[in-house]
Amino acid sequence: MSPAQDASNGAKVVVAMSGGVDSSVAALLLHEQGYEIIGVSMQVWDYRQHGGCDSRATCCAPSDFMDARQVAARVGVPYYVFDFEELFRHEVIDRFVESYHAGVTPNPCVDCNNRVKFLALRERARRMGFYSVATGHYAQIERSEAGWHLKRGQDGEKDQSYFLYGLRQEELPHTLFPVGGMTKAQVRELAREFGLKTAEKPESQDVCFVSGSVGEFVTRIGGRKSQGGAIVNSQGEILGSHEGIQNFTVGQRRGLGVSGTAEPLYVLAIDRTSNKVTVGVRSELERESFSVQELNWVSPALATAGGPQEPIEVVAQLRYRNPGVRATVRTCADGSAEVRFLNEWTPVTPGQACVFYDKSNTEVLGGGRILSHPVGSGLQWGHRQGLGRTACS
Amino acid sequence: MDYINFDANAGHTLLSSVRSFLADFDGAARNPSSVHRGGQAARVLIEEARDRVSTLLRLPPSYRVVFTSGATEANNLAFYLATCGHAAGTILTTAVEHPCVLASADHAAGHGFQIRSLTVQRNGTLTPLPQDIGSELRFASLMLANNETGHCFPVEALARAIRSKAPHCVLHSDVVAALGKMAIAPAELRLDMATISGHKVGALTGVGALIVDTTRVQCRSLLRGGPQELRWRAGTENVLGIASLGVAAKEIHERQDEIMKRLSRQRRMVLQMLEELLPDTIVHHAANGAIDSTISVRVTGCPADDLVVAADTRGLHISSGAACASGKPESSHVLRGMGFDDTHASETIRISLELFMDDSVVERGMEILAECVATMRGAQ
Repeated sequence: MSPAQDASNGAKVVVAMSGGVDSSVAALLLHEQGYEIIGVSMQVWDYRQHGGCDSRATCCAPSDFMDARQVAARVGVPYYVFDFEELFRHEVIDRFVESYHAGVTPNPCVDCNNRVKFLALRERARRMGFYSVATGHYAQIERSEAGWHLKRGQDGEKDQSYFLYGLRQEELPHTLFPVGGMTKAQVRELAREFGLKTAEKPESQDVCFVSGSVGEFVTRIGGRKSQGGAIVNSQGEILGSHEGIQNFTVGQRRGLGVSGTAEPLYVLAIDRTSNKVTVGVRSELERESFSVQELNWVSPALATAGGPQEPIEVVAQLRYRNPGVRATVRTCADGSAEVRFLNEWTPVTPGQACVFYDKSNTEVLGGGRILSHPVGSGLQWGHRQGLGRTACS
Repeated sequence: MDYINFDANAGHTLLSSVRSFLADFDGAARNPSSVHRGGQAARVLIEEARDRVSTLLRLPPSYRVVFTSGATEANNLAFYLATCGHAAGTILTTAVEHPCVLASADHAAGHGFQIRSLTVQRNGTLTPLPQDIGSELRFASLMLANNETGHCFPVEALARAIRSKAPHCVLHSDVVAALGKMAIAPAELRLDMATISGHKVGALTGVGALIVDTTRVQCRSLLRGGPQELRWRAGTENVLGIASLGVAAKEIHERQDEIMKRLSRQRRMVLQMLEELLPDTIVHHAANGAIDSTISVRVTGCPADDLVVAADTRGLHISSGAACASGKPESSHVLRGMGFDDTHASETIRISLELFMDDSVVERGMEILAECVATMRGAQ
């Protein structure tokens, strides 16, 4: 199958349209470039049934689909809704809920990309004769003699390559990020120029399927009664109590319900067995190294080698929109990878994605999920609040 | 847009006679209730349409055509007319009716009516009328042909049987799917009411009608308002829609034999091509016969939702069942009601031909379908 990057080969492409401006412009650009495309929105969550985005819900789909439909019509491409509710529930929601119950912070956008968008959607599209998938992600794909390269988006503010480390070499030729080489401002300008109704649409800020607090969602959807427990410091002294571990993200600072300390406190660890939440000052989050599992090596050389057998220097990015830090990484015999910080550290949150970029901090080499395991007195690593609350990416 | 419509049960292409009528329409302001000549012209359009529908359905003088916004409103009205003023009673229907009938039945159940539902076997046979049905039966709503499978139900025989047990029972049939594909005479079927829809027979969307035997059903309007439609339906009439339904009814009436012959031939063509091009498909044949235009078929191993999209990208409109307003596919209550499992239902598509299609178009449509199936199977 010839790569999709060249429109002249008559490539048929399915564009995942969320109803936002980025995927709207992605569809517009591909259509202009002569690709044969169809726009698809993925029905992943029944907002009527489960709540979430209630104000936007119309029939069985959120009003975002109506926007996507109108944009598709405006651009002049067919548009369909694919039902992925069952799969999404299983692969994304259940993992999301389970993670919180286990005291680990999930990354649903990575799961959605890896398991739904670039797997299930790709498979369904392929069966219909559409061999490539395009999205509105801010990331770039380039080809060299060695193979295919996944790179950061042109717009440093918007770069979403962090969520895409699960893409494999053989998928890259059949993946398109039409807005990856543009800035958000350019994307909006183009949308305006073509009169797309999504041109001024604000960006979504939350996990797409959660309305209200994550803790409340996890309790409701998980169907488990929340159990309270103690808030302790790293010496084991009880500082207060909480109403359920699902309300906490490792590294969280605000809303701990503990006051009167000189320095701000962060969640250091969440223990699912004792229901204990351990808190401490920021310096207690410092680590020299950590492990990453569920790895995927994206770059041609590392994909072939199955990861670096000897430590290589990388820029490790441990959360979306965080600047990466210099580190070394090497694969271990058990399939995980060991990451060691070089001269600065950043908080490490179990469950979150750790993405490795090359030394110039432009190309995605690979990535994985930060391993959750007890260290010392049963502490787990963590960092500040807000994880898992990124816009769907 | 160039396409082949194998989804006529969802929406029929406007008939050529309807298109010329619309092209000739002068665009003048028209409210049939106005006294002036503009109003008179509109009134003429509506009454002409009423006559044409009456002619097509061979209605005796006691039957009135009440124009509505569509079949959903007509079916709601039928339930309202049959149940309003009655505190309780039994309602008989089938498990495979259109959702608007099932929802109306649910509503009646919430108001004290007992609902009895005839189930349908896999070969389209209705379960027999329950022995204990008696004079408490207030209303029966039994579709003439199913919109998803095309299977016909023996409405006339059922009507006779019901009449003998419950003489006052009001009999209604949703004949939307059957209209145009066969000659239908509600009075001869012993029906008190029947529902038709415009856009299923090449008229505009947004118009339908409830046929009512005014000697058997008391006049009431579901909508509160003016005295339009002789007080059967309040609200300014959808003049153009109604006129388009009249024009379509006229063309269908004049060409009914030709249509039936063509559809019968094209059904054989479709079945033969299915056998040749897609030998492992399973056609849902009906013991009591089916409307020729509609063939429900399982394409094993091909999810129907995907096949519908694949076909659309190649210019063939087809459906995996009834249309959903949001575009999100749902599994068919009809096939599940017939005892087919979810996998079977999810691999079933509906071919529903238009009233006026060239054989070559049908043939091309079948070829596209076969190409899509081949692509999908090849990708596995």
